[in-house]
Amino acid sequence: MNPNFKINYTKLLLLSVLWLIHNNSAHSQNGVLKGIIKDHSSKQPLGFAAVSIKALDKGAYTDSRGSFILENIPYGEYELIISNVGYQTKKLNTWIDQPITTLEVFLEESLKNLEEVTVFGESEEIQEAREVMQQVMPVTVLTSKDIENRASNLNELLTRQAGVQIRQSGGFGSSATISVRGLEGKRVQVYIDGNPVNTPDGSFGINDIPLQLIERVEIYKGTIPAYLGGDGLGSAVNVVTKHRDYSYIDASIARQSFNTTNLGLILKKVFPKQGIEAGVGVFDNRSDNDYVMQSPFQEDLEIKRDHDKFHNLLVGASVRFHRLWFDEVEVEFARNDAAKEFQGIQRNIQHVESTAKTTVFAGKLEKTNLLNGKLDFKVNALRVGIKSTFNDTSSYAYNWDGSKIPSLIGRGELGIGPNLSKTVQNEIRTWTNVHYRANHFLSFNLNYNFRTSHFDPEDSLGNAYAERNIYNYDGNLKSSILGFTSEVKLLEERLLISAALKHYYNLVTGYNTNLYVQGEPDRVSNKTNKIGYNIGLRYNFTHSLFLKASHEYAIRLPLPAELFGDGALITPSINLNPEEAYNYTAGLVYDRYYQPQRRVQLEANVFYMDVDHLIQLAGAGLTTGYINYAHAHISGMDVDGKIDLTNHFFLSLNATLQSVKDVNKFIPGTNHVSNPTYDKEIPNIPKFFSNWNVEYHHDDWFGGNSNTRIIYEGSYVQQYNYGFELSENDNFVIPAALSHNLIIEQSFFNQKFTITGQVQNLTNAVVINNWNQPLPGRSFRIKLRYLLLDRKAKV
Amino acid sequence: MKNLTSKLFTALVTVCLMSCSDDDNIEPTEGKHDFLVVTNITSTTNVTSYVGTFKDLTVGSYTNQVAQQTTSYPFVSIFGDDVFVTQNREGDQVVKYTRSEEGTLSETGRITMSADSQPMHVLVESDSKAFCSLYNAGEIVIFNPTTMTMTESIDLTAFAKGDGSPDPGVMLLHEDMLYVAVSQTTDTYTSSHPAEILRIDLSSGNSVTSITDDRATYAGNVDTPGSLFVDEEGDVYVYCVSSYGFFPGQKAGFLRIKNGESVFDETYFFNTSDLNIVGIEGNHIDYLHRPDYAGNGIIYSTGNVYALASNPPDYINDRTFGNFKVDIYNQTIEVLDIPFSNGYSASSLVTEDGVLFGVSSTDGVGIYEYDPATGQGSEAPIVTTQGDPSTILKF
Repeated sequence: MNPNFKINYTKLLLLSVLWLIHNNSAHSQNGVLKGIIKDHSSKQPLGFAAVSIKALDKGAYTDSRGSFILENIPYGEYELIISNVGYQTKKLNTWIDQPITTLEVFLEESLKNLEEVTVFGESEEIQEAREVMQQVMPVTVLTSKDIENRASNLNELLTRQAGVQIRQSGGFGSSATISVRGLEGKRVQVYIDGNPVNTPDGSFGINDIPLQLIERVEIYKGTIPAYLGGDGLGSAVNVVTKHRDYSYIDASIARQSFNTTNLGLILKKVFPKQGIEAGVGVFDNRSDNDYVMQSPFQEDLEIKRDHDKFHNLLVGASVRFHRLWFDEVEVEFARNDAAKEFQGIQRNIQHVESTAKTTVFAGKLEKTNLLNGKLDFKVNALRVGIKSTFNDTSSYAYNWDGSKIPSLIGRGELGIGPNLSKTVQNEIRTWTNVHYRANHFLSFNLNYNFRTSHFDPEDSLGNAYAERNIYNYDGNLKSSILGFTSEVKLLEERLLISAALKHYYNLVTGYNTNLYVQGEPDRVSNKTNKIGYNIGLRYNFTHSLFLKASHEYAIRLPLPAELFGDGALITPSINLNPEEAYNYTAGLVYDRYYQPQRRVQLEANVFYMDVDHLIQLAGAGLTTGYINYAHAHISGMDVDGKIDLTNHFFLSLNATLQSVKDVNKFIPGTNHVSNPTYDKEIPNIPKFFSNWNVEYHHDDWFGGNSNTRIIYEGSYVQQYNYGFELSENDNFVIPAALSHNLIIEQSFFNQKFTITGQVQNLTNAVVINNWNQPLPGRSFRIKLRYLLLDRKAKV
Repeated sequence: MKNLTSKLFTALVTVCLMSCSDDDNIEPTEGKHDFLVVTNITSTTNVTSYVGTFKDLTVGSYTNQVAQQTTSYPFVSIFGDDVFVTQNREGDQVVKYTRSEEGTLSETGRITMSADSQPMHVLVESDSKAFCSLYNAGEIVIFNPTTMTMTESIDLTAFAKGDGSPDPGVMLLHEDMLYVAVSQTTDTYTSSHPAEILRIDLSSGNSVTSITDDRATYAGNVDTPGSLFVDEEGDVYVYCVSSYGFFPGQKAGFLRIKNGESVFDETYFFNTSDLNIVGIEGNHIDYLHRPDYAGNGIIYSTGNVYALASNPPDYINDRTFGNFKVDIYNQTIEVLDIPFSNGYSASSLVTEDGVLFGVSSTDGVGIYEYDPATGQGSEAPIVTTQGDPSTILKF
């Protein structure tokens, strides 16, 4: 027992028993906690020390005499956290069982002078985010504070981060790819709670995750922690879902332009005595996406999109048990039904649509502090079933004036004929993570991901029309990724070194549905056995200023669609090799509270990546196929600054400058035939972009416990080329875009009620980030949210 | 006389370059250029192309520095100093560029055709009349190539089989008759209908008649005007690709319409699919690609030798396109001693000085030359190109 805490523990024990008996009545009374925080050695009071009760989201700073006071605390037991710069953080349990409780706490100076300070108002989520940022990897973290009340979607928040671009093809629900430091799409892996998101048809993307469910988003740039068990070329986005261990109701409705509605409801009930949490969530998103676009193909033709509806319904339920041998056992069920129409740009498409029904059963076991507190482990298992359809059977093609003509391909509006396909994908994934702390300075982590998947398409109509079996070929995938990481802290913890090895095994089996071969295709497979690694360090010059540097050899495995084509005009490429990247990145981070509630965060990174064997489509004739082709060097820098100018004003600015150059001296397959684009910038990648925002926030304008936020956001993307820059007459350019957003958020009664209004793209600027894919202009959004928290009953 | 002048000029330029400069990469910047080339930049998935010119075959190398950027694999026609570019599947416009004294092309007009109509072949009859086939719309648009304004159109959709368009591609104007090769495909790459030509009588109100022949399918290489031509006898020939070899049993080959006739010649079908060709893998070609008529029954063309392809195909390293001399009278095909190309280039052009082939080989990318007189082909490009040359034309 720590002698610094002058609390009568015998009394506490007695009170705890009484409290358990009279739990309900105890909650009806409030008390005051006051005290003084002092330096353990000098016994001098400590000013600006932070004292907080997480469970109540209450906190205060000590004044210059080291005193603090917390009022209106319901009777009960709470964990108190006391921290200050240069001191070891203290956590202690205290009882509030009388009108006034007093404490005197002594903080011991940290030998390293590096301990984190807990700040009033800084939630557990933000502290966890800060811990993530302390890793050796370069990472940007978006917390729930940045996300949950916003009326926009996740993609719009991601695209405002340093080094990140989201390339959208249309409105809400349209396909979008994430680009991090010049690498995009399949090269940037997306995870939900560490599980790679890779549905076969992209039917579930990162943007489909309800904002209310997100605790934080981690954007790794250049190096990926080995515990994220997927492939990729060194950048990743990991969405960490929220876990509140108390009862609550979270309901929201948002209405947006283009007849877009988002509904969300989460109900969670905690049974403290039984140690059980149970929750359900329902989320419904739909949009007509009926915005007006200027045709990129027809001069003076404005088109109101009329076949771009999107709808998805996500339902989930989970039960967690806390009183078993495991610390936590969770069973979870989720179902996502999505339906989407296809909007034509060059031609008026009226009947093409797709659906996907995804069913997930998941189980999780977690046990910590085995072997005298040294060993933790987690096991996750998922069973995923996806049934998707694609319907393109129209007998007509349509002109923009609505008139119709017979289909240009017999039947169907896209591709080479009609399709009425049903695809079933069944998948099992497991994820095992073991963490071992040998001592305070040395730890090891072992991570194992296993995935087996069966893919079974069926399209009798398409086959009948083609007069051969093009589509009905199943495929299998088995992959395992084993990661081992060791971390060591040296130099009184100023230096953190991390090293990881990652083994990739991938076996994909399918058919060589090569149109050039008559008769039944051969069953073929592609196997990969590769080892990747990363190493990194973090060195703290001071508590607030640290350096990060890391290097990774990363691998992106070929996808089944790249290996086996589409059965028709994309022919198989069964000998594809993985893409490879050697990434180097270094950065300086400065993160400090210079006054209570006023924080400054500055970060600057430089990066260099040597990426090779990049997979791309090739072929000039009727058919195409994927090949390993490009070799590129990526270099650049990004800066990111966030500062609370006053207690009410917050400013942020980030900027990214990057260069992606083709470094193939010769055309692949030759050793002396010059590559016409050697040393040229690889096209379709912005070289410079920047984002900024100004936020004004104020408490109590509309009564006690109200909060007002007014946010202005701006962004700029420099003009860039769609093709290589080879001629002074180049005209395939994606124009520079300057856009502005305005958000007003008002909450009442400690965020019980929140209303958010948002205008996206205030000036209705033309913003395009995919060639010939017009995006919506100015849009208006309003969101209402009701949040009822019952923090008293926790498991 | 023209030939002699050209040779003299070429020789003078060659001497000048050899004596005056040690820089092989200098591009002439003054005076009109004689040659046009389409190059495709295939280093990424998003292929873009360039239409540019170069002075003559002595330039050594060609870059896209002053070329015009366009959609991938465009179709190009020349009339006088004007160049008409259609955008393949990626656009609805016909863009006109004009050759200048400075050796550049500048845009001088454009027409937007109907949405997703897929403008294909532009055939210019005069300063005031040109035709453009719209592959998807099943229509021939008549326009004024000087003012770039549409004047009338000819609807061919009544001739469609299996879908909404007969898929008009390459055209030929011969004795006031517009011959239109229609591929009659319903899935964009195969056709199960007899080879078909639509004859449009321009002298009698654009009346349209159809002639078919079931010995072949898919009349005309869609992007090659040289696949529909007339010989010295006034006979019209069309090369039928017959689904590019994708459809078992279909035979690619030449059909003929005798001078003065309005049906295919039943006595003539040059079946190139089954022809035994000495000196190539598998001894046969799947189809000819970019044929260009040289006169006296001789065609120079590239051709796809599919026996050279990997299984599945490797679109970079498979050099399956050979270069051939085709005798349509004697029905023979002879492989030429010029490196094989992958599909990114594989183009041909007959000039008064020889035959040019656009080749992307392991020896170089650019324009190779074949001398019919000696039967010798160049081992390396005589003009290297920045990008794969898919079309070569001469003004």
